[in-house]
Amino acid sequence: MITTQDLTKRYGKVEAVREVSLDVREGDRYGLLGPNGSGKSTLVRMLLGLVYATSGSISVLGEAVPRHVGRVLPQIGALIEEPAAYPHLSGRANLRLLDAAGPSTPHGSRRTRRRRVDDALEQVGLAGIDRRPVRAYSLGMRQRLGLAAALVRRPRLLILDEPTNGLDPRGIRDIRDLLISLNASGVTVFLSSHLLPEVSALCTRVGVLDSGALVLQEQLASLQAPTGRVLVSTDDPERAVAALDGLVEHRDGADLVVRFPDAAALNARLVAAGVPVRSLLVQRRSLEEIVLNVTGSGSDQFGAPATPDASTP
Amino acid sequence: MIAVELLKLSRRARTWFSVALMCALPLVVAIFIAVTHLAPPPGQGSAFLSAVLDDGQLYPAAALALVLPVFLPVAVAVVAGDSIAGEASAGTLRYLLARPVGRTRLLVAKLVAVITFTLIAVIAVTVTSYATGVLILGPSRAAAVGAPPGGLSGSITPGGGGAPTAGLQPGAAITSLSGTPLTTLHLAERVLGAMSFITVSMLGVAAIAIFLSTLTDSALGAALGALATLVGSEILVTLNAASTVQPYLPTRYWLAWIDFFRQPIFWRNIERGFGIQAVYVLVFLGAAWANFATRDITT
Amino acid sequence: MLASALPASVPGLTAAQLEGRVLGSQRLAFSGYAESEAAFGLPPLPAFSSVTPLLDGVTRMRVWQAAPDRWRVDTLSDAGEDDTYQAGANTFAWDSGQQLLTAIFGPQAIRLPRAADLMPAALAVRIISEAGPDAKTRLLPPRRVAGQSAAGLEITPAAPQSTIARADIWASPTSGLPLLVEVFDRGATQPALETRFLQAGPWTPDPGVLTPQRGPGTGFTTTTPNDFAGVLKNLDDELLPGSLAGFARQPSPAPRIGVYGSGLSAFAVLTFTRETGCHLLRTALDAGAAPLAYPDGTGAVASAPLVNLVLVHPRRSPDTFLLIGLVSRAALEQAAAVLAAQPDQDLGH
Repeated sequence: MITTQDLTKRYGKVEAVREVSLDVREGDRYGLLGPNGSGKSTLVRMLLGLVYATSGSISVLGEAVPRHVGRVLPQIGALIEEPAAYPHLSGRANLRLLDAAGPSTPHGSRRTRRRRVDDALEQVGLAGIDRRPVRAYSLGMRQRLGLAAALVRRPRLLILDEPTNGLDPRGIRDIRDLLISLNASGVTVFLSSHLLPEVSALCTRVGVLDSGALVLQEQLASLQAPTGRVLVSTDDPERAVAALDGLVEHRDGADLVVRFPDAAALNARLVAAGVPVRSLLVQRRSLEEIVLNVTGSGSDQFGAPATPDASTP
Repeated sequence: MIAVELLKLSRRARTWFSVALMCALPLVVAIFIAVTHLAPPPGQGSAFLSAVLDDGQLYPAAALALVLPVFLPVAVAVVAGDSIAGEASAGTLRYLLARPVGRTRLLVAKLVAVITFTLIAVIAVTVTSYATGVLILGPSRAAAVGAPPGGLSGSITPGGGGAPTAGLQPGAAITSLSGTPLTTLHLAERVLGAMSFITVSMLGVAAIAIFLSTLTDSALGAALGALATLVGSEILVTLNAASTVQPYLPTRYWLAWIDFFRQPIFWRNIERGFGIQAVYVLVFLGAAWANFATRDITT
Repeated sequence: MLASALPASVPGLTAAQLEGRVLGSQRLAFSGYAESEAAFGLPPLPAFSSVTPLLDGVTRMRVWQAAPDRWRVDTLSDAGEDDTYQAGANTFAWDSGQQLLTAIFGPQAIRLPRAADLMPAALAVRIISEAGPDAKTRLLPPRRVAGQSAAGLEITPAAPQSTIARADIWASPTSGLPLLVEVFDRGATQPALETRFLQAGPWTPDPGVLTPQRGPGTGFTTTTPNDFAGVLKNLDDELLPGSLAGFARQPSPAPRIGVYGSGLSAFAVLTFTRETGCHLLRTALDAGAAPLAYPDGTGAVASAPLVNLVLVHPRRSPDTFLLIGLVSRAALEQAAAVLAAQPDQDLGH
C-alpha cells in the first residue's frame, strides 16, 4: 500500500527524514512511532504530496507520489497533525464543503452526498451535533470531526497523524474500536503516534522513527514473541529455586524469572516438586522496551534481559 | 472548486460587512450633501460629486469614485491576501490539497472568488447609491437650475457657419462630462462599462495579494503588502519625475472609468487600463502559481 | 512604448518640402489624442487663470478636425473636461465644472492662449508661419511618433530677441500632419514645451462630434469676442507709443491691447485699472516675481522659459501695464521703463 525507497527530506542543512524505506502492506494497521520532532509529520506530508522529497521515491496504492498524487488522494482519508476546520461554520457544513472540494467525479447526488456526511459523523460519534460553529467545539470534538473528514470519502487507506490527540479515554477507546472495525472491513490504517500504548493496543505492524531515520519496522507479533522466560510467583521460592536447578535467572522475594520456553511444562515441573505456584506468566517484551532499545543512545542490544515489572501482555 | 470558494466567501461575515461598509460610505456622504446642500466646488473633490446636487441619478458614478481609491482596494486586498495565507494559517490548506484539490485549480478558484466579490461590491454600491441618489438627492432638476447667474437656457441660435444644434433633447436624462445629453439607456450602458472597468481595475491588486498570499502564512501581511504596492503606485502616478515607469503602474489607469462618461467615450486609457491589469494578472498569478505549485506545505 | 523603439523610416524630402507639407496639413481632416508638457512656472495671475495650467504640467487633449474652421479640442482632467468647438467664425466653450456652455459669436481677433493652441498640428503651423522666411531650417533624423514614422524639421527663428532658440517638429512625411513639437528656450537642452500626438490618424470626425449640444441641467451664455479681459482698462490707442525698445507697434488687433514686434519675437501690452493692477502686482510678487524699481514707478518681473512678463506701475499714472511676450527679459524691462517714464497723459480718463 505504501512503499518508500530511501526517502530523504532536507530543510537547508537539517535532515528531517533520512533514507526511510517504509513498507506498509494491504490490511495492515501500521503504527509509526517516534518522539515529537522525529520526522513523522514530514514523512506523512510527503506521502500525501504536500511536502516534496529531496531524494528517494514514494509509491502509494501502486502510484508514484507526488507525480500521480491526484489519482491516489481520492482513495485516502487523512488526518494531518491537528484537525482544521473553518471555525465560523458548523461541523456538518465543514464536511460538506470539504466533500464538495474534492475531484469532481465521485460527487454523486445531493442525497448521497448528504448521507455520506451523516455516515461519517455517525462513525466518529458526532451524529447528534447541532448547528454550533466549530469554534465552539471542544478539542475532542474537533478531533472527531477531523476523523470524520478523513472518513467521508470511504477511503481504502487511512493516513492518520496522532488520531487520538485530545480525546478522553473513552474517546480513545471509541476511535480504536472504529479503526479496528474499519480495518476488518478492508481499510488499511497507517497512523503515526508518540503514544506507545495506543500503538501497541491498535497496531499489527510497527515502524520506529528516530531523528528522521527508520530504525525498526516489524510485525508487532514477532516483536513481542515470548522471550523464552517465564515469570513465576510462589509462596515457597526456596523450594522453587532448588527444584529448577540453575534455571532461575533472577529472584526478587517471591518472584522468580525462570529461563524455560514452555510455561505448561514448567508448571508441571513445579507442581511435581511440590512448589505452590501462585501465578505463572510467559514473558514478552513490551513495546516501550523495544522502542527505548532502538532509539536509546547506543543501545541496540535486542537480546537484553527484560525487567520483570514492565512485563504485561 | 469555484463553487466551493464562492460558498466559503458567501458564508463569511467579513464579506458582507465590507460590502455594507462600502455601501454605507456613499450613503453618509449623500446625507451630508443633502442636509447641507454643500457639494464640493466643481473640479474639486471626488469626481461627479459636484454634479449630484443637480441630478441624483449621477450618484452611482460619484459613489464609485468615492469607494475606488481606498475602500474597494482595501477590501479586495484583504480578501485576496487571505486566499491562500488564511487557509494556510487555519490549517485547512493541507486538507484541501489532500482532498485533493489541484494547486492550480485552487489558485484559479481563489481569483474567481475575489473577482466575484469585487463585482458584488461594485454592483451593491451602484444599486444602493442609485437609490440613495434618487431618494435623498432627488432626480434631475430643471435645466437652468445649475446655471450660473446670467446663464440663458434654451436653444442656441446658430450664428452662421457650422449651425450647432443644441437645446434640450427629449428623452435626455443626464449630461455627459462633455456637456452633451445622454439618455437613461446610454447612462446605464456607461455605468455598466464603468462598473466592469472598476472590477477589472481590481484584478491587479487581487493578483498581487494572491501572489503574496502564497509567499507568507500571514493573511494580514499579504494584504498589507498588496496595499503598500498600491500606495506606492498611487504616489508614483502623481510624480512627474516617475513618468518613465508610470505606464506600467497598476493604478495608472484607475481613473480611466471616468472616460466612459465623456462623449464620445474615450477608449484609449480604458483599453490600456484593461491591458495593464491583464499583464498584472498574468505576471503575478504566474508567479503565484510557480511559487505555490512547488512549495512545501508545512502548515 | 514598444512601438517607439521600432525603426523609423521616411521617404527622402528636403527641409523646404517638409515645411511646405506641414503648412499644407492645415486643410486635413484628422482625429487624435495629444499630450503637451510644459514647465513654465509663471505666477498664477488672476486674469490668466485659464492659461497658467496649460503652461505647467501635462495637458491632455482629444482632437477632432474636419476643416481648419471646423474642429473640436477637449482638454481632459480626472474630474471633467473643458471643450472648445470651432464652427466657422463661432466658438463654443464647454466647462464641465461650471456645467456651462459659452458661445462666442464672431471671429476673435485676439484672445488668451487656450489648449487648442498647444495641439501639435496648430502649434507647428503657427511656429512655421510666425518664424518667417528668414528662419533657418534643416532636417532632423526621423522618429516614431504616435506609432508612425515622422520626418524631423528644425527651425531656428532669425529674430535675435526672441526667447525661442529653436523648435523641432516631427510630422508625417506623407500627409504633413505635425505629430511632435519641441520648443527650446535659449541655452536650454531640454524643451520648455513639448506637445505630441499619442494617437493620430486621418479619420474624418463624425459631424455629431463637432456640434455642441446641451444636456439637461447645463447653463448657456453668450459673450462677444474679446470680452475675456473685462478687467482691462479701456485704453486709447494713442496712449501707447508707436515703438517700444526697438519693437514697432502693430496695427491694433483689438482695442485696449498693444502688440509690438512681429512673428516669434513679439510682446503684448495690456493696461489695467489701478485697483486690478495693484492686485496683479501683489499676486505676482507673492508668486515669486522679482520686484523692479524705476525712477518713475515700481513693478515686477517674472521670467519663465520662453515667456517673460513685466508688470509696471508708473508713479504718475492711474494705470498698470502688463508686458508679456516671447522676447528677452532685458528687452521687456527696457520697454517697461519707457512706459513708466511716459509723461502723464491719462488724466482725461
